[in-house]
Amino acid sequence: MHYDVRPTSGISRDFLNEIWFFRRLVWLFIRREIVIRYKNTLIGAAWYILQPLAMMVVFTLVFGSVFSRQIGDLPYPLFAFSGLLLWQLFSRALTLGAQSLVMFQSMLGKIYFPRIIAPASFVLGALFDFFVAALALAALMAWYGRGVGPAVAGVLVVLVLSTLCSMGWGCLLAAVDARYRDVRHALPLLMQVWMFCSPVMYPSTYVGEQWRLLYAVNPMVGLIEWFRWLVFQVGPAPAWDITAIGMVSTLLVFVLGVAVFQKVQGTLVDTL
Amino acid sequence: MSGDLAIHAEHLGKRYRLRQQGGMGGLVDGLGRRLRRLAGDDAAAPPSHFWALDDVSLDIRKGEVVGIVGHNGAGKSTLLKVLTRITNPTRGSARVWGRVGMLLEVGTGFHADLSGRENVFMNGAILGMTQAEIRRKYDDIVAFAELEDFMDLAIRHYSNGMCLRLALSVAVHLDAEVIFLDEIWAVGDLAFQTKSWRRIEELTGSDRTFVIVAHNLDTIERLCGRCLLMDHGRLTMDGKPADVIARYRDEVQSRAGRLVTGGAPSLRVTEARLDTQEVHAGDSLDIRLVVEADSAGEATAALSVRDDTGRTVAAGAGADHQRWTALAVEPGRNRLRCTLPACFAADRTYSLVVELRTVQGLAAVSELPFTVIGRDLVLMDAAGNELPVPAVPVAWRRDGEQ
Repeated sequence: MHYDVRPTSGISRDFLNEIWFFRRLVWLFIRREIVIRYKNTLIGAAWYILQPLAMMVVFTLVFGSVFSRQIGDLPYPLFAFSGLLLWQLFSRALTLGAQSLVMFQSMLGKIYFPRIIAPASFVLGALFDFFVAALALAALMAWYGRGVGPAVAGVLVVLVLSTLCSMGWGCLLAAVDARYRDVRHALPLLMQVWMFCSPVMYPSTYVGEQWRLLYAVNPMVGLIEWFRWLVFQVGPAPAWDITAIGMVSTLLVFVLGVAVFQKVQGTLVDTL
Repeated sequence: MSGDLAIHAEHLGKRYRLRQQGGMGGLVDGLGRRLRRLAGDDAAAPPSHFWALDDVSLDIRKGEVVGIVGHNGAGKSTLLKVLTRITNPTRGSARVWGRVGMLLEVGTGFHADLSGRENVFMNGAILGMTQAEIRRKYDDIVAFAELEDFMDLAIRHYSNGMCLRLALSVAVHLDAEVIFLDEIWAVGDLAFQTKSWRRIEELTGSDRTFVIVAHNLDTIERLCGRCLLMDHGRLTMDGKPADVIARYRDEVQSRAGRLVTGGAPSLRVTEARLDTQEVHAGDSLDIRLVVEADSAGEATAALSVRDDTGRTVAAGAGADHQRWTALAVEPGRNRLRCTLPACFAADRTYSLVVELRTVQGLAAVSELPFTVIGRDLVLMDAAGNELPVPAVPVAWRRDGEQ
């Protein structure tokens, strides 16, 4: 067993072996974040339910009547909550991933592990909050007397893609942020604008036909649409072109983000 | 060739960028500088660099216990960080064989809200122990720390000393084939430090390889079979601890109180020293000067502190906020003393520059190196986040007690 110290770093077979070697640490970091987060709050998990719930109420009051005709027989609160649920997963994972190096700053200077474990554990940790909040969606659906079909299993694919996408963006932004602090200031604004560019509170049919394909470059368009369709099965399945564009954009960002991160990971601590 | 080697390094070099003064170093600033340079603006020159590690080659065989000594800023910690992969070198390469343990800090990953038990498991895993290994050693770790009754308590309720004891206890139970050890024992009470060192000493007897950075030269001399001397990023000597330490001591002696410029005839500095060359961030530095004067008169003195890149980081403000403070000198030997709070970034070496002037002009300049150790002086909230408030050291006590 040995390792090499070299000026450059990148993606190689060693990299994958190493991730495998340190896999336990990923799990520990995820658990640590969750434990710490829940120990410090009074109502713990409820926060991840209250947040989308409150937004759902606001959206319903403001947009409920505007969009109700365009979403078929799906009650608007369910429409909004499901969108918020997936959006919250994506945006939390991305934001935490982008800030992971800063949060692990002191550890990174004193101990070695593949640096990508930092964003990865935060991105994966966000899934936990998603499942907590998903309980609330289940309760809401029961309230409205709706069940789920076998198609709901496809949600797993949506979750994987959403996680890959937030990992890609998270790695990219974390790498830039280590060098230029601007990212941490721009992040809240970016996420806000991004949410308005995603079909969270409105159906994607609301966006003009001429913008449809450009709109789909935002991977959250396809993912949120699919998520709703798999859970509620209302209306036609999302179009294949939107799906394809979203998937390509997701995978590109994932590869780019991880590659950029790996390129600079060896000297990240110097500028952090 | 790798059969009995633990570490092999070739021409390792690490270059750091000096932080830009002035600009915020943001994205726009960085791009702007690049554009201005393209446009031929000389003021937008590239930031300067320095080599923290310069062409270091070495072989360490399995089972060797190697100490590294040198002034701070000489590159010892940088060498450890490069060999442990915490940061990549700028040049050169190295290979390390065997399971590696690194103890560059105690309590890495400790969190105030987690219980003692949870922190032991977390910290152990971060140091590279497996869960089974930690479970097996758990009782020993707790017993060593003498904290049997407190393991289910969140460590935010621990005293500082208890925290350090737990952290050190996990550290000394780390078992690996190659162990990198930075000055981590300069924490906690003396008795526990000694106990921890004794435990490390037991480990060095086996065929484990150790690379140790310590300021305590006696420790190095006792534990190590080989010692490296570093200066300005270079490896300047490699040999028996006794020889290397002797040379290092000579260097320290000749550096301390070195007269940079000659004294004016009426005033000479015959001795200039610091009570200690290592000071915890926030503690005080005591400077002692012996000045010989031909006749009674008045001199003025000024202090400034430079970091290892030569930048002035602080200057003493004397009476009336003036840099130069008047001192009355008498014929013969004058003993002078001055105290300076070491509110500087930790883990770096600095030079204290003492200047003395008389009416005839500059009389003497002495440069005294010192190192700030321990943690940076910062203010934290309960969750351990740094607050953007200047921190000053304070100590509370009951009125009437010493």
